[in-house]
Amino acid sequence: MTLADARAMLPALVLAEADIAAEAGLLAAIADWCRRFTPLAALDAPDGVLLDVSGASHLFGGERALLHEIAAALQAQGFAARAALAPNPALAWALARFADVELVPADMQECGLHKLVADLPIAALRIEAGTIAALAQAGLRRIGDLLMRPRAPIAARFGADVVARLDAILGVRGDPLSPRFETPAYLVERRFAEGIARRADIEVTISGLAHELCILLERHDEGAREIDVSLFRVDGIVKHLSAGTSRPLRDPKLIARLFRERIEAAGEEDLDTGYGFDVVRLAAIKIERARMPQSALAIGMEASGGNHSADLADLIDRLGARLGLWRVLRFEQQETHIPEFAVAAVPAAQTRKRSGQKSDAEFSFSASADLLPTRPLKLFEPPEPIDAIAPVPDGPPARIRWRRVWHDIAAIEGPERIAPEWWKHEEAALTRDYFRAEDSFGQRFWLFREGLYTTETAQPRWFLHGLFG
Amino acid sequence: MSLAGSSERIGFLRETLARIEAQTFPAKIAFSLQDSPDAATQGVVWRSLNSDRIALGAPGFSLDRMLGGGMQRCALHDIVAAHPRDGAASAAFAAALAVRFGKANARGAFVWIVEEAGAREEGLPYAPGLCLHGLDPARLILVRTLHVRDTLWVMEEALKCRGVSAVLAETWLKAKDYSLTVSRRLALAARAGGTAGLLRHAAAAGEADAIVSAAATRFEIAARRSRPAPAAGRGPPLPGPAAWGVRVARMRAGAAGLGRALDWQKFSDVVWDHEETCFRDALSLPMVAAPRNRPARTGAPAQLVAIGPRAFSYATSNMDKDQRRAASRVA
Repeated sequence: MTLADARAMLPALVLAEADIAAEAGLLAAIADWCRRFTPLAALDAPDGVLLDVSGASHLFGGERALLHEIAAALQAQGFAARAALAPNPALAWALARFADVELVPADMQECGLHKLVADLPIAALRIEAGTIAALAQAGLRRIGDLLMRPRAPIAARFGADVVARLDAILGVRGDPLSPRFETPAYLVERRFAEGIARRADIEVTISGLAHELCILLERHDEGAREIDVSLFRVDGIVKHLSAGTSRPLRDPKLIARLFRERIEAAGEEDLDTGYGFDVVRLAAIKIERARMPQSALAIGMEASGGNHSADLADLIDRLGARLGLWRVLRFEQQETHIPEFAVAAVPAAQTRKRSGQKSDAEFSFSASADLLPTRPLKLFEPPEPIDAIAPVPDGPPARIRWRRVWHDIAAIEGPERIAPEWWKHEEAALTRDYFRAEDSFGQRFWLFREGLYTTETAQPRWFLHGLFG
Repeated sequence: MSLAGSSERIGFLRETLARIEAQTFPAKIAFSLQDSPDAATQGVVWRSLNSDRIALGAPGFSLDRMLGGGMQRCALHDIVAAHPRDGAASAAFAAALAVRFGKANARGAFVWIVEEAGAREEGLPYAPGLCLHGLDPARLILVRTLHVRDTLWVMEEALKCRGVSAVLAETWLKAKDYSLTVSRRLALAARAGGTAGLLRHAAAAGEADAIVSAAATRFEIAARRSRPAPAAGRGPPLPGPAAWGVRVARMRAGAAGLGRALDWQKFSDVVWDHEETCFRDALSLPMVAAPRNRPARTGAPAQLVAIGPRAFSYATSNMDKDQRRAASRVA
């Protein structure tokens, strides 16, 4: 129906443009909320959510009770939603949209299943609209019409997809879900009859959950590298807090402390407790095998004040949780001689790539070289353009102007020529001549002239790249 | 009132203060030292008895004697540039101090906190340069903060951590926002963690005397011309090793205990020996330079030593050692 027709029939029609991004966001939020029932929740764009509740339904008092709970909760949030539960996703999808039956038990006999499916319209197969129309032209309107006919001619005439979907709806062929979030390796949660809203309560709950999680981890000799807290608010909004760790972690106190920092960093308004959270879940997303001393021994070590490297790792984790992992960095040498790329700053919490092999001798610049420092203490990123006066175009500068101040060069060493990496086909790159210069006040600069005079450029440009102490 | 009089009252007060401060300040030792007026022996005794202090240079280094045997390890130290242009020099001095602290605690990490404003203004620490400065980049953790508030929080947390040997924060905190309360928190954290805290006030250049803080020492740093090495041909000379003018602008429980007055306005010129990772008096610079692959100028050291009256006895003994070493290297 066109808009003009619709308006002619109902002049009071209210119009609103579809906001596809907002709708997708809302659906994602609903899928998030559904994770309170099972960790395996998948988005089913544009208008559905698929949950794998295998082994989870008994927690909610059976399958029927679970369905009712989902439907009632969604209705309470103001959504008109239908829910159906079936042995396979394709059938559940079809039932939720085209049938009054909302529950198909997993142990249903094959004949019963065929009978149920046969009554559904062809659209329930979830095939393209063109194929549905073609099937309708051939007089095939119900799935039953397809089931009673030989499969080969149908596949030949309407495409293999029809047969594949038929198999999927009957559960003959698997129809995988792609969950929105990775299934956590370990998961503990606590449910409350009424939402908890005070920050102290949330922190105590997380601390309690951390104890349970650590018991699980300890039993399997593993430690968490990435931990996630999901807070399910009463009105359907889900908050996620996650924290990465620099080593496999299995200490409830440290986990609780990490999330205290995380909550602190998130702040009151961002956490937005609202009516309170009724489900708090702690999940170890990434785990790593970790042989650790038994708890009693660990406590003994703590008392003697021994483990300094563990202390440092905790510090890195806490800073990372509060400021973000990309603000707590360490340096890693790169295989290039271009000064600004010679060293990369990577999050300190990340494990080293080549573990152990080149840990300390990683930096080839060593202080024992019988030379004065040739690299500055501080580097500008990007290099700052300066004006320079040089007696000859390819000689060292006599005066430079940096940040609108002229500096007279009193001592200078150079050039140190650094050529571009021609094997990387960087056409714009020019050769740089680096100078170490000291001005009349004792300020020490690292300058370079970009481009070789006459061979590469007629107008070499000058930059200040760093400062020596 | 003369300190050499050593009235019991002053001793008692000093002990009480030390108790209040809860420092490992050995009041009794400081007290007994007053009997020996020779400043030189004092330095030696201080160093041997006070393991809590880190000597900055070789025995007899002038700044060490001024500080009473070195810098306190578990304390907060303020570092201020003398002029806005001396920012990089004061950062390098702070990094050099961190190297000294790191030497004493071989396993500890070094945390360097840089604010985003500072990164734009002065650049970011560069690992190859740090390496050549004597600081092992593998032990460095760089923290980039957005606000002054974050900087202070990170610094306090890092100071409390036992796996850290030194924390250097470069903050653009306004001098008027820095107070006794703020610095006291940091000083207590440093004491609790046994860590050295170095706070560089990047926004307070030239205001070293205006800062109010509970730090153990406060240094004012000025960039100095390095002793240039002559160039091979004509043209300007080559720059030498890093040199700074260092003024001890404030010292807690220091000068009085040593029984002599400190010249608060005096800048002592020091150079940083990045190879041996220690400070040296700028006076003995030619002797330091001798073993390097630069042309050594014979005869110059003896002339220079005569300039420093107080360092005389040390400089001569040093000179003998250094010259012998240099001679053996040449041989």
